[in-house]
Amino acid sequence: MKKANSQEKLKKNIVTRLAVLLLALFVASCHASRDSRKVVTFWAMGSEGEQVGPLIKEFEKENPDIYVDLQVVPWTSAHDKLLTAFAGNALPDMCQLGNTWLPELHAVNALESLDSLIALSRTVRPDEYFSGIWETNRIGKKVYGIPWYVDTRALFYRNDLLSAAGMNHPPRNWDDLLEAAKLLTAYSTKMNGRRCYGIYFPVNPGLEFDEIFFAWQNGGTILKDDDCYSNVTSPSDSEAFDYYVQFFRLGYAPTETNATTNLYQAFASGFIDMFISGPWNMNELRNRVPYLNGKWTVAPLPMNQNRAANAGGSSLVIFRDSKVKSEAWKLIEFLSRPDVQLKFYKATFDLPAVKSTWKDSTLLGNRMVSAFYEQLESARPFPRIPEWEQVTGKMGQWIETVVWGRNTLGRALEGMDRDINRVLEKRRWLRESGKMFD
Amino acid sequence: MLSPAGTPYIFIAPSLVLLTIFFVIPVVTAFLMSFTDFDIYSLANLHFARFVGLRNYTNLFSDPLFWKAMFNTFYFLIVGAPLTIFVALIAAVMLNSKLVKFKPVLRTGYFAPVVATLVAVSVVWKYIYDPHFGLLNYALSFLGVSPRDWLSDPFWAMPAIIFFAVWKNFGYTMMIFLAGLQTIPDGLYEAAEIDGAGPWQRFWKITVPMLAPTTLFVTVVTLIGYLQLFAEPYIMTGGGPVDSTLSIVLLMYRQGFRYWQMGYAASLAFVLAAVIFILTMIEMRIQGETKTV
Repeated sequence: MKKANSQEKLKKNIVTRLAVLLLALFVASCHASRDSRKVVTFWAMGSEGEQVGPLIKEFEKENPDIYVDLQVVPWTSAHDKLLTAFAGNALPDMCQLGNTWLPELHAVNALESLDSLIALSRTVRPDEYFSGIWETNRIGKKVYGIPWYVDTRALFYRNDLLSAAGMNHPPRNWDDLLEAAKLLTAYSTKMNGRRCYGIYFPVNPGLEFDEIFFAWQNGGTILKDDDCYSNVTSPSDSEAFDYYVQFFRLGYAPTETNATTNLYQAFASGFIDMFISGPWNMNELRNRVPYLNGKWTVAPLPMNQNRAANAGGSSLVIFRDSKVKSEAWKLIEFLSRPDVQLKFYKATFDLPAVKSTWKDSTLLGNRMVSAFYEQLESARPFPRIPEWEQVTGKMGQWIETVVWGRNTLGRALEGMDRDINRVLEKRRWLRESGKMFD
Repeated sequence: MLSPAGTPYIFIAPSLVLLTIFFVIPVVTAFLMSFTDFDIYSLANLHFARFVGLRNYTNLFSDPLFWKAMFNTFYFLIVGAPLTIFVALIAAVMLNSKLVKFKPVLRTGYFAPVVATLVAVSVVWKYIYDPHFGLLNYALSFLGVSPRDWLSDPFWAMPAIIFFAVWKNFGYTMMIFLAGLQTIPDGLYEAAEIDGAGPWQRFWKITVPMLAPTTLFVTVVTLIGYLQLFAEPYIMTGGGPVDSTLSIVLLMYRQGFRYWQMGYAASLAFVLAAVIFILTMIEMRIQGETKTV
């Protein structure tokens, strides 16, 4: 009897809870149905995602019929999340995409081509962008992304130490760079009383090899024949690799991988005196080692045949399956307006993609930032193939064996050549059997 | 209605179904996948995947990186596993002794690294190993040892990872040994003592043989766990320098989730599974023989 009673009670309890739940759902749906705005889901990564909020509010004020569902995705999990979302049919309407990821998402046919929208747009005009950066978004004849912010590589160096060591100008060409590394290595080692290095190159085990630009600057390309074969054993490429390896061979660059954890400390202490990196490090250096201000500066990369460097940054893309493409495009146009680009720069210190934004005094008025502008003019896209990460991984793997003196450059390049060609086998097969789409 | 023979199957049906969905089907799929070149293109269109027979396996065996990873994994296993078991046994015997005080504190201290998140402590140890600011070099400087760049030196990186792994894992093994030690009846020791056996003899003639089943279990578990070395090098060295800490699982992760070479990664997984299977069989056989002797 007692048991039946308590069961009865339980039942009643469940019924009441269900009723409350239903009521809540009803209220919520009423609320939603009154809101007739179109919803655009937008994934943005890391600090960009955190800072874009106020701009989105502004956009919604200008476009009362659109609601933007902004979701911030951490950079570290973004790549996996995008591909898993693709496999699970759960992609957002639009997204911020690191421009080396574009070819992968294009390979799975997830991206909407934007050419017809660009043709009609008054805000997004291709000639307003750095051409190398714009190119990263073009695959075949079609454009799949609009640059949001840009990044490339420039030379960070200790101007105080360099002039003390005997060079009164930034390294202007390859010979200068080698000479500067030599002078700085000797000078800092003497001043600090322990082994120091003139220049630092990240030796990322098994990860991407960043110094592709040396090959470009020497007139070479990493791949050939429509990115279907390796070109690393060509004279221009192997000469460039030899130039790079020289810094290690002569003891001007450390093989120490851990220097990355303490890059700023190492730079401040004179353990390393130059490094080649992206614009975010201007802000990092200012914040982490403020006492070093005035003792370091940024210069465009030293010239060889040209001054090419990696075209990086993020683009805004629209996914093929989106139902609200024109609304998403409106948001892209809004984020590409020079005034909005400037606000975004001030919030994130990400360099603006739209050139006219740079006229502002905080940008071209700043000598370091303008070094990046100059560098961006000769930025160059990586080969736009989904296998690219594997290709640079193979380069990193083989070059590391030379840096550590475990291998001769010639043998390493042969191994690299064989491995890269193996990676590209699938691409050649797809090409030959006509299965590749544009 | 129900035949007595069929009844048990109904009871195990729920777990059978779950096991099939989450274990049998994925494993069979992965096995089939290891004979294809499933990659990012195939994700877009299944027709872009080709049946390639044994090519993944032949590529694997001709890839110097695979052999390097195999070598590293075995280096880690052969040095790391006995060391872990040895340290754990010492600690367990010590904690079981009546002479040691503050046992709960020590036990917690030894076990704490096991509970700590691997990734978090890996980061901490990365700083301990730091060449300029690290605690280890600082401590060694008192002993007159010159500073070393532990994780960036191809010779020292693996020993550094082994040392870390032993510290991280011996607590778990120690707990199992401790449980084993507590099942040994005190009477055996008392009898041996009366017969005039010293502490050393008691350890070799009573503790070690009585712990044999525990040791077998611990060895198999450590073997399987250590062959799957991943997070330590992933966080601390990324597999470098010059691939000196690249393990099989790290290589598999890179191929599968970084490069989306799923077919190739699957073939790696099956090679690793085969190695684990064979080693465990050998292990069981050896232990079985010593028992009958």
